[in-house]
Amino acid sequence: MTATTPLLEASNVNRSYGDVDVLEGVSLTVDAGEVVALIGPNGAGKSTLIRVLTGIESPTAGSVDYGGPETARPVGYLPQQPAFRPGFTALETLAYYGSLVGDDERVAREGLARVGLEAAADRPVEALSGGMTRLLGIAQATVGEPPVVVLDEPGSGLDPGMSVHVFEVAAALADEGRGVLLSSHDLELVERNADRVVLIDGGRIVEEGTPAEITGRRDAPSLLDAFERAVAGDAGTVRLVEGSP
Amino acid sequence: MYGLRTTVLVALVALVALGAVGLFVVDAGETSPDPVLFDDIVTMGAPSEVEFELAETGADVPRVQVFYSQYRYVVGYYGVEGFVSDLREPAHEQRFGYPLSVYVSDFSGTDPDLTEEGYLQPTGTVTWAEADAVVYVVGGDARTPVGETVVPFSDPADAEAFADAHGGELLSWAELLEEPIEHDDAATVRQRVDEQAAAADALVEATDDRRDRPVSVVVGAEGPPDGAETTDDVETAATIAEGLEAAPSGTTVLVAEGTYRERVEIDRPVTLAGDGAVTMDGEGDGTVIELTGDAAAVTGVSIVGVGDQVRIDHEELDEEDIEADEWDTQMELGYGHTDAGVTAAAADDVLIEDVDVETPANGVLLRDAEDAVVREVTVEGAGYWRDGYMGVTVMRSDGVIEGSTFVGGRDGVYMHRGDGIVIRDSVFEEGRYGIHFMYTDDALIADNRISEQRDYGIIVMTDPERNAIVGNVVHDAVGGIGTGGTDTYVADNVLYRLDEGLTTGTVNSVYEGNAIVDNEQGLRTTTILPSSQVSANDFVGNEDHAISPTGPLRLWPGNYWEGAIGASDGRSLDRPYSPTDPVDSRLHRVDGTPALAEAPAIEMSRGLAGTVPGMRAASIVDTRPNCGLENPDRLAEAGFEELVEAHGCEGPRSSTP
Amino acid sequence: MSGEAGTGEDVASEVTGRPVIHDGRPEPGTAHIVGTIVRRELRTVARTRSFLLLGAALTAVLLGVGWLGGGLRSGYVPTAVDLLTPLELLVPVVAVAFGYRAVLGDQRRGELDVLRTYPVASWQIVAGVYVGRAVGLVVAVLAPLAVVGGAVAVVEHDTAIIYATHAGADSPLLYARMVVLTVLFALVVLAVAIAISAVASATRSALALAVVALVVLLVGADLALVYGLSAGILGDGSLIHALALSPLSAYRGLVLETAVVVAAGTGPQTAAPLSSLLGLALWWLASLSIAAYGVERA
Repeated sequence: MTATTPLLEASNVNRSYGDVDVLEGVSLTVDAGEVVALIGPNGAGKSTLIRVLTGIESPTAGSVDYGGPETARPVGYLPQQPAFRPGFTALETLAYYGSLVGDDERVAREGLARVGLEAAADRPVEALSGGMTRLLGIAQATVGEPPVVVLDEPGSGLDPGMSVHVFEVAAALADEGRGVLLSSHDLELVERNADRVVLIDGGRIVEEGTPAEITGRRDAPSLLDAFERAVAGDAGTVRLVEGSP
Repeated sequence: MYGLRTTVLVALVALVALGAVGLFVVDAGETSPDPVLFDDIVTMGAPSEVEFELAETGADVPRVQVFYSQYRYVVGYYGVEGFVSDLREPAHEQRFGYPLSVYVSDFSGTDPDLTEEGYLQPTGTVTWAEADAVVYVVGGDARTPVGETVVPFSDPADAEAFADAHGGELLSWAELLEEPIEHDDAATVRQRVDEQAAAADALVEATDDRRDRPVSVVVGAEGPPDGAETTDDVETAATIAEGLEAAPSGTTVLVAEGTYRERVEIDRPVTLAGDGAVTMDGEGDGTVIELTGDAAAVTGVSIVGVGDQVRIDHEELDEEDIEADEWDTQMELGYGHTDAGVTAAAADDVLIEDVDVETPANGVLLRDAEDAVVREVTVEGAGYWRDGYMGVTVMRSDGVIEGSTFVGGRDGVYMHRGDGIVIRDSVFEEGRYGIHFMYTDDALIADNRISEQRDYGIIVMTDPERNAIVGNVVHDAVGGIGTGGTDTYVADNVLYRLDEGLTTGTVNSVYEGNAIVDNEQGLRTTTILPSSQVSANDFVGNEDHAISPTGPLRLWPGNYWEGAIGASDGRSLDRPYSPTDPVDSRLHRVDGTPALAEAPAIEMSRGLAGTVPGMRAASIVDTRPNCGLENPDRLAEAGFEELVEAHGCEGPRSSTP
Repeated sequence: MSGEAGTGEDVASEVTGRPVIHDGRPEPGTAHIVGTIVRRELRTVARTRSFLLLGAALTAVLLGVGWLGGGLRSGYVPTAVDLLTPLELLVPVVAVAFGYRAVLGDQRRGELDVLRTYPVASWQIVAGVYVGRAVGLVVAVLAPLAVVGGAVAVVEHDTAIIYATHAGADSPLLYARMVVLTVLFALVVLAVAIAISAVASATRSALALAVVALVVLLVGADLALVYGLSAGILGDGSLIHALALSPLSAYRGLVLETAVVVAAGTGPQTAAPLSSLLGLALWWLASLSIAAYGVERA
């Protein structure tokens, strides 16, 4: 979009576990103010890519560079199945994470408000519903105002209304000027909310562009059709990457 | 905000850490309590009469008071040497810990003189001084009633002056601890038993000369029986008294069958011998036969009609005869002048043999009679003990009492200062005490059979020293053997069917090889000093094998306890046994306890129980109990053959052959 | 209130402004981060009922042992002696209970992964978790021992009063030494437990590892010492130092040497205090290092 360096740039990332190559030559960028959606069949390597992008795992080859401003927490992260230590309230949990980047409890309250959890502030985390837990996870992912926010399937397992809300939150984060990268299987929502889509299959990027570019290239009426065409023959099955038994 | 809180927190943690380190820097062992009043403390050694004698003569004994690291009671010693020799005992430190503080009598400034017995006579007050800050005069003339003694002075000049006057050399505390000190302990007593028995044999053998004296007078017959050894000129007499009058020294007055209503005195080495059924009847007044000459003897006589006077008034004391010290005058009046079947008074080497006495008072009274031999005597006392008195009373006498039978009355043998006496192979029935020790040291009580006493079979009072009680069988009485005193050897006795088998009221003593069977309480400790050794005893069938109401933990390794559990190596069990433990003490009589006793919680809690015994509450632990009976032969002999079958190391066996 | 909080308000007001690259905020200091983790662990400990139960159970067991063994009636040193063996067994159990899930739980829930996106180093996590749990553990160990110590003060002295008595070498000071050493021992075992927790996280072999490590700690090391001695690998002269290799033996030796022998008298030396302390320190340090490594790899 702009000439500035991307907030996050993966260059030629390979990631293997033993003999199994999960990612091969993946390069992508996340820029400020955009929502990048990572889509692909199960087992394509989405989660691994996310773990590499967040720094939780190191790439076997290639590099991930953060190009944003110096800050305590450059990349925020929502895991696929967010879970929190039981025995603490939602507010306490968020305040704990906030404290790690120097925030106080007031900021945590605001974080809860942003995801619409202010009413559940004093509820113990083990008493939160799946959707609320995910919202708390998103609030956690934004603790410390990271320039990049990475959300691993933020909408999975939620009712449609809640999924929409999650994507709206993601969009709002981008509107704040952050770069947001999320993975999702809900291609309709992706098509509607993502600035850019990266389709990954077999550990490689097979398509990249705005939803319109991709549907155009694949000559598909929707992103879902484009997806099905791109991974033809494999739809509905779990894709195993090359080299796996 | 964080900064301040963190600083405070760090400071707090540092402070706590510093305090914790401080706990290890402080020397915990260095407490030095001040000396306490000697009268208030538990004392080792010193028989009662020593205290009485000292009190009487105004003399003093150097004393020690020790504060041991493990032991709650302050321990007192009469005589520094007793403490020094105790320190050398191998088990001493395990029982008491090490001495935290030791104080000794300080004779400095009291200018002590010696009495004619060599006892210290200080002028002024003897104070306490720390033992290592004092000079000791060793090997001089100073004595205590029990032997040579070391005299401490805080001022070396005083020590030197004392040594100049009364001999001896000056030693420091450290040197004194290295000094060889002779002390007869219970182990010495154990060794002495055989010697003492042999000496008694010799004493008895030597009485042959009194038994074999030629007949010089015949009473109640025409002449001596055929074959009797006689003097050249045999007289006859109508009464025994006449016969004794006529008999020259070294001869026998032979009395023919019949009843003689008379009371006699033998004041020369003459033997009064009955020939056949000879009865002397005192007609209920006074003593029947009185031996007042050395080597006088009486044999083969039955005595009846003894007077019933037991106690005399002070005015009746013949001061010249009496060697009593003032402190025991009451004993002299109460026991020393009773009516008796036979009395030996101030007469040595008497022989009283084969004499039967039926008496409301004493059977035999030995008063100031050395080397007396009382053999095969039967004394039948009163049916109710309060109506009777003693079978034999021993006042300041020694010798041998053997092969005799004492039935009824008060005590079988009552000893007052009967040092060195031997009582053996005798039977005691239906009295109050079988054998009653008062102020008697170095005695040997062996192989007696005592039963149906209203109180103890053998009772040792007044804390004497070095007595041996060996091989006796006591049963069916209130108590078996009640001990007291110091350096006592109690071994090889069989005690059964008693309310209380054995009490260990002694210090520094040895209890071994005793079989304690079928009693209410097998053994009871009565001292608070845990200094005696108890091993190789058998405890079977007692309601309580052993109890310890007072004092600290006692470690008694190597006894057999019925019910003790554990793996056997053919000799010992690998699990300690505690007769005072609530579970262990029921092992032999409550079903289910053997399983409970193996509970890890119990095992865990007794893991290191043997450490610091001196600090522990009253209890008994056998750290390596025997897996089988230690004294099967003695038990079989006492009629417990079945028990011997069932209590071997192999465990209970079936009754099939 | 710090300046950073202001940015939050800016965010709220700048919904339309794009793109906005915020000024970077500084990383909080180590003390702050560790403090944050410590507080969380403290709250966890405070809110976990089973820890309270554990402390109560320990109190009951120690009192029971003190009573059963007769130590309570006898004084401080006998009580310390009576408690020694139970403590050797129970302190590791309690410490493992306190430490075992600390890291593993976070790892299982994915919170360790999340923490990687925060300016928190592995060693800071380990330090925070360790300190937080240690405070709880120290309370759980100290309180029962304090109760038992108090019970000794109340119960002892049932001796006859007719004779002069004194405390001998028995003293609360010696008991306090045992307590301090027990706390040290607990802290070392907690480090081991945290290491187990962290390594279990990394290897995903979980409980089996914890049990194996506990058994090695409780009996293995001492058995190895006995074997070493009987097989002649350990010289007679070096045993006293080799004792320090087993945390249990090091602890036992230290208690005997500094709290019991002082009262009991001389005998063969029970422990070389410096070697034993060094041994415990090494176990502590190695365990925490392993834990940090485990967290790093998890």
